[in-house]
This record gives sequence, structure tokens and C-alpha cells, in this order.
Amino acid sequence: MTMKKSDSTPMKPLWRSLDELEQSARAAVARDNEFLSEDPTEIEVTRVGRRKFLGVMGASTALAGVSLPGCVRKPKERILPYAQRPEDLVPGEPRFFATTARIGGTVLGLLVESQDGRPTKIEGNPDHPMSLGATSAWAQAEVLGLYDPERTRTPLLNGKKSSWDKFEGFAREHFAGLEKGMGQGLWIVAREQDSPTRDALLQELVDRRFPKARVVLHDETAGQPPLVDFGKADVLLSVDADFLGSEGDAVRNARLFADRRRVEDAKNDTMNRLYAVEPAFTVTGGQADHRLCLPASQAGALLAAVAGALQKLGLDFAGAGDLVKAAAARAIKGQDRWVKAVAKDLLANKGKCAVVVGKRQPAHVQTLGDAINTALGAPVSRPRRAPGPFNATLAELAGDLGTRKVDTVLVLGANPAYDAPLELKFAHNLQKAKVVIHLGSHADETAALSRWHLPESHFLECWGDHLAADGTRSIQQPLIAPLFASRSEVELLGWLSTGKRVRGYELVRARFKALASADFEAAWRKWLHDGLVKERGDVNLADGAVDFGAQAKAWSAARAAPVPSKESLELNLQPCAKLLDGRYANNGWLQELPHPVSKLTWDNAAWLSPATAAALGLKEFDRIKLAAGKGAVELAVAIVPGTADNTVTVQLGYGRSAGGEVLLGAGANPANLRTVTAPYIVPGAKIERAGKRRTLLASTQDHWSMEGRPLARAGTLDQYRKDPEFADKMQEHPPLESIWTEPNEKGGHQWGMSIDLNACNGCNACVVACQAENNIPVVGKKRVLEGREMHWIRIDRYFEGDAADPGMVVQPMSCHHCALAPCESVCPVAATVHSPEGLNDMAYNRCIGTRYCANNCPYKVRRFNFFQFNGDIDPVSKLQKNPDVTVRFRGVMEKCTYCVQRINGAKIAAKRDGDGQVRDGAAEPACAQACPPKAITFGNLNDKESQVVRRKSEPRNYTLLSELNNKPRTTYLARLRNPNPELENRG
Amino acid sequence: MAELVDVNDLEQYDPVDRRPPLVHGEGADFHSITESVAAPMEWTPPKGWYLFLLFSLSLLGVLLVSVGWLVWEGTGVWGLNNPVGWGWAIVNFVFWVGIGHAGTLISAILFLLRQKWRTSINRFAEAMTIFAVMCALLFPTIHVGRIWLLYWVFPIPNQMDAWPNFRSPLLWDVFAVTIYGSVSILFWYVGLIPDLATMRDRAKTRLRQIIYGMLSLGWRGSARHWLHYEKAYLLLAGLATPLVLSVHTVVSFDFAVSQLPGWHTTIFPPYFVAGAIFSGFAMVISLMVVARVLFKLEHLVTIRHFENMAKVILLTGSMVGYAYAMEFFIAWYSGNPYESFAFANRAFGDYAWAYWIMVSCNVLSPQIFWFKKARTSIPILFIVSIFVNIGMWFERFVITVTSLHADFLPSSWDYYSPTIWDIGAFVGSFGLFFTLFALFVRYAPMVAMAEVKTVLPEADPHHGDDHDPDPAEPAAAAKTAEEGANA
Repeated sequence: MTMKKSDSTPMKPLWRSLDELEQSARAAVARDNEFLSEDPTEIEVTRVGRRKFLGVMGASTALAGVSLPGCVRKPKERILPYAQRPEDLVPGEPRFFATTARIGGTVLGLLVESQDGRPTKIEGNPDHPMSLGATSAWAQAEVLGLYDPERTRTPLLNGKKSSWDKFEGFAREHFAGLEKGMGQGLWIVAREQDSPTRDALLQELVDRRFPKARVVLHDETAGQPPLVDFGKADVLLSVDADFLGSEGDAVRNARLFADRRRVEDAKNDTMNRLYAVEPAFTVTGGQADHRLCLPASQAGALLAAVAGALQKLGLDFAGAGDLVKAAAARAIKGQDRWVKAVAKDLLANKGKCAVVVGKRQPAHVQTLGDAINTALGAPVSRPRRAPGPFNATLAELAGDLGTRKVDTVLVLGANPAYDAPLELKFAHNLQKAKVVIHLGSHADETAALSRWHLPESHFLECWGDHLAADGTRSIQQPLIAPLFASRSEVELLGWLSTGKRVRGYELVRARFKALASADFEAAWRKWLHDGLVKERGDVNLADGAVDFGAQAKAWSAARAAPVPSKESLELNLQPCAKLLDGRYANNGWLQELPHPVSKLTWDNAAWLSPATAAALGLKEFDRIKLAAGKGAVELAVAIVPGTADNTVTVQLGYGRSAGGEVLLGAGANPANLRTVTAPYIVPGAKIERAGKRRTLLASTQDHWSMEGRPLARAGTLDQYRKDPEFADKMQEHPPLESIWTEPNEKGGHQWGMSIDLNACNGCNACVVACQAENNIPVVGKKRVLEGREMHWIRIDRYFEGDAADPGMVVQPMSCHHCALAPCESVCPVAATVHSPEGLNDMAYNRCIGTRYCANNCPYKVRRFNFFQFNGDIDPVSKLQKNPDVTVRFRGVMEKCTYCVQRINGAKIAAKRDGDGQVRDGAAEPACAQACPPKAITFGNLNDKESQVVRRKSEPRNYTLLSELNNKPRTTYLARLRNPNPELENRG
Repeated sequence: MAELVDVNDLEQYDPVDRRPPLVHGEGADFHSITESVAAPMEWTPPKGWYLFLLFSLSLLGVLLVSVGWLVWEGTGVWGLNNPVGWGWAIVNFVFWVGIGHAGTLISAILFLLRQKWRTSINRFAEAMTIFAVMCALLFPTIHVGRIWLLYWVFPIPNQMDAWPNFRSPLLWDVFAVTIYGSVSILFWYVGLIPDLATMRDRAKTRLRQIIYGMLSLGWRGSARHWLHYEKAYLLLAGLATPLVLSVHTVVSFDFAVSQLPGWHTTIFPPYFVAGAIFSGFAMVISLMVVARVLFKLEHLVTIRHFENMAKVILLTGSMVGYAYAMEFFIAWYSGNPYESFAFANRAFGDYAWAYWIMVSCNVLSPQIFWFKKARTSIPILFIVSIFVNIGMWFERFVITVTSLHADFLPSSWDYYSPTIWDIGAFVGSFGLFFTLFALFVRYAPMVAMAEVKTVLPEADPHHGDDHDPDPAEPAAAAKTAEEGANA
């Protein structure tokens, strides 16, 4: 016990080389196969609350009093110093490693911060074409997922603790039996991984051992949407596509899209124009210059009308002529003005425009989009890849399960028992399989029905590789040895395939051997260092031929979608911008993240337009029973402007029932309302009241309107050209004078921030990034309802204009670091004071918690620790905390610091390496770093060359609530719309 | 009781200053005053007193539990949220500080203005002031997030050279309220000395002799004592007078110095002082109505006292009403959209119910005091005084909460409602107040005996002189004068 304890620290914290890291991973695997009870990674989750702790302490103190003093033995534990410290390792100084992951349907190149061996923060890899240095909210939250104490820690046999050895013993025999029958009766359900290694190993497994096995691809994020070069598109038509939010390569899209909207030179710069058709607001629709709110089932008909109008205007569709003709017959009626204007605009920008069709739309609508893009010469490619080993559908599996033809189901990470459509009765049928083996990070709904549940490694714990939509390869290198006795998908497949334990490292490396032109070792090191592989290898991205003829028939065959009515609503299911398909349901950061549109946390809801809610006699939070097809689900009503009338929008991913405690009680599962043929857009939904009850939904923003105040300022491009400083003029005020003298703000670094409202789409990446960087606690639904959420940065979302057809504006809001800070003058103990560099510092130690500062903050960005939110942190969760940031105690105020720890880090580095001047971009707060469209710019105001000075000197620059004379260091750039003059007088 | 004085009947007037007598009743002489004031301290207390003490102590228990839970669990047990950082605790603080105004006002300002009618009620009002200030101090103490570090608000030299922030109105508040509290206690105590000496002299048990003996600081009633005493009392009155005005002015700065619409108004200092006097007098009436009956002090605390206090209430209530109106006018006249919204939101927003309770109680209900009948009717006085107390609590609630819950950015707007722990702390603070009061009426002379005696006709140096004989009762007058000298 004694010595073992000392060499078995929970993880190998640091490594010198990647080989060393691999060694430790191997050591961990070897250990796992030994005696589980000695597995050091097996940290018991004991949830001892403070009160219980005190009780136990009291009792044990009492016992200590009666027991003999000599009876207490101190445990013998030895700690060892680094006798030979790894070279260039400075304890306490974070290091960054490049890796990659497939997150939210896109492959992101990542740079992960490692604090003394613990990955604590995920950033985008600037060199990777899909992340361009930024990340999504999901990517930011992955680090919490890594340290989720509710992850499965050992293999489970029928829910009981078991071991990999026992599993291997069972599986060797079981799969040998299956092999004899060529894999007859073996079904594999896998996720989309965009991983050539995974796909190849799966293929190998099927080819080598189980030729008759059926392989199902089951993943909400599967299916590659077209890759649009938004940098080259001046006019865009989005048909039910959330390309800036939850679909496709949103991180990259957001950046390219926003770059095309930056108008620095008011006279000469141009910007793109986005037309959006959607049934309910998404972040994409919120960015639209013209948004048409239509039921999703009508979106295809609208596109058909546009295609017809284009044809009428003389666009040559070549081979797709029949398709367009068939489609035009189904064209929507009554939107002629809109359709004509869009068609004219598209045609006028031939070659510089694109149509983006959402993946929720049926194939024939997608194909029509492709046809229009082809005819217009749009900068769009539809990457096609080797189809992989997938040869069956979930419906077929369910059918076979029902007829008891299935022997073994191997589920690789997917959770079909939760999200399969009701008609498949998947959960019920799954029990008819003889053996179900589930690999997954959590003991979820599918795991609960499996004989074997195997813990899966997080992507930060294992090797892998990914192929991005544009063909960029990248290698997923681990940052930490597995925390628990887990294995990666490729390792499991490798073992199943060969019967030998092959390290993920070997499996991945082997795939890359062929890519290196000369010195493989040097190339491999470079790839790992860079985080991406320049060599493209055998990736085939040529456009596949589209069968326009077949889709023309589909158009003719498609019945006109019924127009939804009050009695027969259209249900519109959206992958959630927070939980996606439910895979992030146990992630507290994402649960508590306000939805970009509804601002709801911890719940999904039935979104209704104000008119529909009124017609149905429903109010906010009314509890309803929503029925569609054969399923029904109970939800609360959320009235969300911008939702199409007579439709109800529900977010997927809620109502999980197993896989952790965080996810329990969060919303209801709408999967019961889906069918195989109508997975997203379900006609004939009905709403009835479920009793007289109401369910309070925890929203972080209750008020929709800006009340006519010039807060998030916006103008049109024309207005901007005529009067570039229009935004600043929207607030009149007398000459501003103050009784306080401004702190000295002359020398050295003077920090400031600029937020471009024209770029920000409200995607929430900054909110989660801030939470990860600054150790911000999760408070839970009850506390959010009480208004005690702790986010340091929030995205204010306002609806404006006509309630029936509103616009949506978003405005990130965090501490403005006012030079004449109203919070500072009122604190009785001077706990919040000004730094010589213009930061509004918060001394947590000094704070006594009068909350006067928060009252006097006009931006209401200060957050108070109403309870001990950081009290009972699980030992595993503790590993996530950023050691550079204080974990705040109960009773103190906290707020955005401009990431002062990063500023100081950059200053120390600048002092060490140069003249002490922090170079532009070296100090970047977490929000700015994560921001996909680069809406947030931060830097030194004294550096006249800096990006932030450039942004602030743009004429669109304005100060929020400037009349208060707080002189904030954060300013905004007004949003610009680029409306089509033909549609503008609409209002 | 002959409460109404017939103005035409000059016979009933004080023969010297030609004003109605301040003390009524059969045999209101020096001795009877001592007897009737000392009686509650020397009786075996009636059952009613014990019941009242028990009731007060149980409320005090509510306070202890509420505060205990608050300290144990955190400020979050209250209903506060992100925009509303101050709730009931601050409302209660301002409410109690306001009540704590009448005592020192009656004692000090009316003393300086030689308003002799104050003598019967000043002791009582001063005690009320002190207890109210204690209740008031409780709330800022418990409302901070880290109570155990509250001493950081005091300028205590320390090794970190960390000083409080003298720009903060909260710090001014610390000074203003603690100084007001200590001067009020000093003033009260100095006024008590001659009466404590009386109690010492009447004490029949050893314990009483020792305690009253120590508290009376060796008072013998010599002319030199009286000379020093009167000077000290006058000086303290002079010192306390500006404090009466300053303390609530500074309390109003907590709001006025901020930049929150609805708080940031220059009208606050006079408006708060008027409101404080308003609520303080209302509280004196509420308590006095009960106490004078319970302790049979009707002849000392006469209807004339009540009438005078009702007039003050009418005046200050109208001033408060004017302030309400002026706030609205300025909100409109300034053209500041945030300010306009804040006031429109008060009257017609989510908290309109609180606003209209405030207006009805504070502005409308005292208007009845235009009528003498109402000013001299004990039930009406009592009911209106309760209304005013309710209204003034709501005034502070309206100011604090409605301004915070919807300020500049609509994105932050939220609704605040109290929890049982907010309510518990408030209800419990009455427990503290009543407990202290119950002990006060039992152990200290609740009417300033020495001072009341000075307003008796007998106290006049020329009382009973030959050239102005009292045809009615010359013998009795001579007797009382003699007793007064001995008492």
C-alpha cells in the first residue's frame, strides 16, 4: 500500500515527450487489467455535503476523545519530488498542445491548455481551416465533460462493476462464436466520427471477421452539409439552414460570413446580404438582412418558387431543367414579391451567391439547392467521401430486433435507446437482442439496456484522427492519460479485429505512415505540433454526380405539405444549440447556458409564436401535452417571437433519463414525436392543456424589448454610407463632466475592448469559454429561476420591430471596465478599485458583500455569490479549475476581469523576452479567443497599431450609456443591415 | 377627563404663560407625578406585561432563527437576485432609522425651541429612538455577504494599510448612524439621571439601590448639579439637533449618490428627513396610545400632545406627498428617458400595488388630520399612525426595489419577492424592539419626571404669590410647592 500509493498519482501529470505520455497511457491500461480495487483512477464519488461532513466530524471528534491517543495511526504515504525535472518544464506555467476533435458536426482543430498535466481549457487552432482559431460553445464545454465525475469508471456487466479483463474473456469467446457464422446477427451502431482510422478499423473488422455484420450510422450530426465559401458569397439564401449555429462547419462559417460583413471603410467597403427562411429563430436567422418566417414544410416550396423565378429570369439550369420544372409546380403561393426580389438579387450576383439548404429538409429540396448553386456557379462544394462500412439503417435494426433475428448489438458511443423515433420501439426491442455491448462515456439509456457497458475515453485522453469537410486531416493527440479505466473506440475496434490489445497510438500512427513523403518521424512530429496534416493523401473530395432526374420525380411525387393550422400544428424539431442531440445533457455548463434565442436554461419548451399562443389560449409556462403521430410529450410553453404561426418548435436533446444526475429533470424528450420518415418536421401536431399546472422555465432574460433605448444600435448600410457616425449620434447628452478625476491613464498598457455587433451572432462560445477560464460555478435551475446565475459575460437578446415578424439583435455584455467606474466609488471597503492599466479590479479577499457595486452598475454585469457555490466540488471536477483564477467564496461579488490572469501572463512573458511591451494579440481574454466571428477584439489602447484601436476608431464605434459618463473601456461597433431596396419599404 | 380646553375659559389657563396647562387630572402635583411614573417600576407587573414580554421574546426568537440561518447558509436565503441586490433588509434599515427620528427630534429640537409640551413624551420617544436605531443597525450588519468581516468598514489601522473607501455613501452611513445612535443614547441617559436618582431614593431592595445608585452617578439634586446638568443637556440638545437632520440625509445618500434612475435624485435628503419625522411621530403615537392606558398616564400624556403630534404628521405627510409629486414632475421635466421610465414603472409597473399602498397610506390617510375631531380622537390617531407606519415601510420598498428591478438594460430586468427568511428578519426585528420596550417600561421611568414637574404651575417661581392668589385652592398650592421641593 505504501509505495504503490506514491507512484500511482491519479494521472501522469507531465511528460517530456509524447512517447513518455504514451508510456503512461500504457501503464494505465496495464494497471487497469490488474486488480481493479487498486486502480488509482477509481476515485469514489462521495457526495458528502457540508452538513453531513460537520456531523461526521463532530462524531469522530467525540470518538477521538474517548479512544486512546496512541491508537491513531498515521497513514504512511510518501511523496516524491522530481529528482530530475523534465527539461523546459516550469511548474505552474501552462503548456499548449494541438489536437482535434469532431464536435457538433464539425471537425475542429484545437489547442488545449495543460496546467501541470491537466487539460483545463480548449482553444481553437488558428491554423486549422475549420476552427480558424475559434471554437464553438460545445468545444469549450468539452473540458467539463472530461472531468465529469459521473463518467463511467469501469466496465459494467449488467450494471455491476466488472473489468476489462472479464469483458475480454467474455468477448473473445462470444465473438469467436459470431465469427463462425460470418457475423450473422451482429449489428454495429456507430456515430459519425469523420475519422479515417475509425472507419477503416470498422471496415476491417467487418471484412476480416464479420462479413455478414450490419453496420448502422446513427448520429444527429451525420451527413456533411455543403461547404460554402462564405468569403466569396455576396448574396446568400438560407433555406431552413442554421449554418452559423448548429449545422455543419459553423465555426468556420461564422468567421467567413462575418469577415464579409466588416465595413471599415464606409465609402468603399461592401458587405454580403443574407436572406433567411426559417420556422423559428436561429442564430443564422438573427443575422439575416431579410428573414421570412415560414413553416419548415413550406421552405422547400419557397425554394422551388425561387428556382422557378430564376428560370423565368433566364437562368440556364442545364441538366436540372426538369427538376426545376417539377419543383416550380410545387412553388409556394403568395410570396411573389419576396421570391422575385431574392431571385433577381441572386442572378445579379451570379457566381458570387449561394443557396444553403438545411439538413432538416428532405433530399429533393437539398438537390434543388444544389441545382440552383450549380446553375449560379456558386462557391459551394458538396464533399463526398468514401461511404464507409455503413450498410443498414436503424429502422432495419429495429425490425430485426423485433423479429429476434439479432444476436449481438455493439453500440459505439451512440444512444439510440434515447433518441430513436417512437415507432421503432427501439428501447423495447433492444432487450430482445441476446447481447448488447455499449461503449460510451456515461451509463446512459442504451447502457442501461446493455449487458456490457464499456467506458469510453474522452477525446482528450486518447489517440484518433479526423478528416475535415474540406479534406484537412488532423491528429487527435491526448493531453492526459485516461482518468478512468476507459478505452477509445479505435482501441476497442482494434482489439475486436485482431484480438490483441493495440494501443490507439499505434493504430493511428499506422494510418499516417503512407502520408509522409520521406522522414516519417519528422513529419509525424510536425503534424502533432501543428495540429494538422498538410498532405492530403488519398482523400477524394470530388463532387459526386447528383441524380437530378430522380429528384425531379421526388418533387413530382411529393405531396404539397399541408398548411398548418391551429387545430393541426406543424412540429418543428431542432437540434438544440446547447445540448445538440442530448449528448451534452450531463454538462452543467451547457445546461445552464442560456439558449441563444429563448434564453432558457435547463429545459426545452414548446416555442409558440405570440399569435398562436393567443389563438390557443396559452400563456407562458403553461403546461401542455404536445401530441404528434402516436407519441405525446408534456412540455411548458415558451412564447418566442419569430416562430412561424401555427407551428411549434421543440429542441431535441432533453428529457434524458439516465447517464448522470445533471441531466435528470431537464426538459422532456421529443424523440417520441419523431418518425423515421419525418424526423424533424412533423405535421398534424396537437396541443392540449395538461391540467392547470404551469412549469416555470428558468430564463436568464425575461424582457424582450429594448424599450426604444439605444442599446444594441443598428443601421442600414445606406444609412452608414450617408452618415458613418450614425450610431454615436443615437444618444444625445449634454457635455459630460465629472466630479471625480479620471485615474491616470497615460503610460504603459491601457486595456480596452471593442465588440462588433455586426459580427456577433450570439452563438454563446464566449459565455462557456469565460466559464471555463474563470472557474465560474454552475448554480442549477432553481438558482437561475431565482436570478442568481453567475455568468460573467452574457448575450443580451432583443426582439425588435413588428411582433409578428420581428428582428433579433444580440449584444454581448460583460464588465465595461469604466474609467469612472460607478461600482468603485460606492464600495465602502475599496474592494473594487482601478488598476493603473485601466482595469476595474475586484479584490475578492477584501469584499464584504454589500452588493452596492452591483446596484450601481448600469450594465448589471456583477455577480454575487449568494451561496457557497464552490463548496462541495467533486475531486475529479476540481481538476478542471484554472489554477490562475481564484475560486470565489460565498458572500463576495465577482465579475469579468478582462482575464487579468492572461494579461499578467502576457506581461511577464513580455518582460522576460523583450522590452516589456505586450505585443498586440498576446493578451487575449477567453471570450475574444473563443469567438468564432471574431466579434470581440481586445488590446492595448496605447498601441496605435493594435487591432482594438483600429476597431475603436471605426465610425460605427459607440459607447453604451455614454450619457452616464462612466467612460467604459468596452465599446461597441453598431450593427449594419444590408437590406434589398426592393423589400425594404416592407418595414 | 377634561381633554378639550375651552379657549374662552381663561381660568383654566396657566396663569403665567397664558397657555392651556400641559398636565391634567386631579391632584397633578409633584408628588403624584413621581408616584404615577414610578409605579410601573415598583409594582408587581400586571399579567399583561408578562404576556407582552412573552410575545416579544417569541418574535425575538424568530429574529434569532432567521439571522442564524442567514449567517449559516448565505445571503441567498433571502429573495435577492441579480438586478435586485438590496431588498427587505435595506428597506427595514431605512424604515427603522426613520422611526428613530422622532425621539431625538422631540427631545432636542423641541427642547431648543422651548416647546414645553414635549416633556411628557420625550423620554418615551427617546427610548423608542434608541431601540429603533438598534433595530436599524441590525440590518446593514446582517445584509452583507461576509458578516464576519464587517469590521472592515471601520477605519481601523491595520498591517495592510487598507482603509475604507471614504467616497462610499455606505461608509458615511456607518459614521452617521453610529454617531446618531451614540449621541441619542448619551442624550437619553443624561436626561435620565435626575429620575434615576429619584428611583434610587425610592428603592426598597438592595439590588435596586446599587443599580439605580450606580446609574444615577451620585446625583444629589444640588443647585450646582442642576446647573451642570442643564448646561450639559442643552449642549447635547444642540449636538443632537443637526444629527437628526444629518442622519437621514446621509441615509438618503445611499440612494441619491448612486446613478440608478429612481435613486439618483437631489430631492432625497429633505424628503427622507421629512419622511423620517413623519414615520417617527406615527410610531410614537402608536406606542403612546397603548402605553398611556396600560400605565395610567393619561393625565401626563394628554390629548393635546396627540394633537400636536398629529399636526406634525399632517405637515410632514404633506411634505412627503409633495416630494412624490415633485419626483414625477422632474422625471418628466428632465426629459431623461430612464428617469421617466423609472417613475412610470413605479406607478404602473410590476410593483404598482406597492406604490399605491404607499400613496394611500402616506399622502391620503393623514389628510384627515385637517379636522380637529380626528386629531383628538384616539382611535383615529391610532389607525392613521399604523397606516403611516405601513406606508412608510412601503415607501422604502418602492424606492429600493422598483428602481433596482428595472434599470438601464431591459435584459437584466427581473422580479424580486421576499422569502420567509426576509419576512422572518423583519417580523423578528419587532421582537427586538418590543422586548427592549417591555424592559424599558418596567425598569426605567418612562416619563421624564423632573422635566414634567417644571411645566406644572407649581414650578413657576411666582406660583402662589400673594399678589396673584389662587382663590380656589391656596392651601393645596402651597402644599404641592413644598412637596415639589422635597421630591
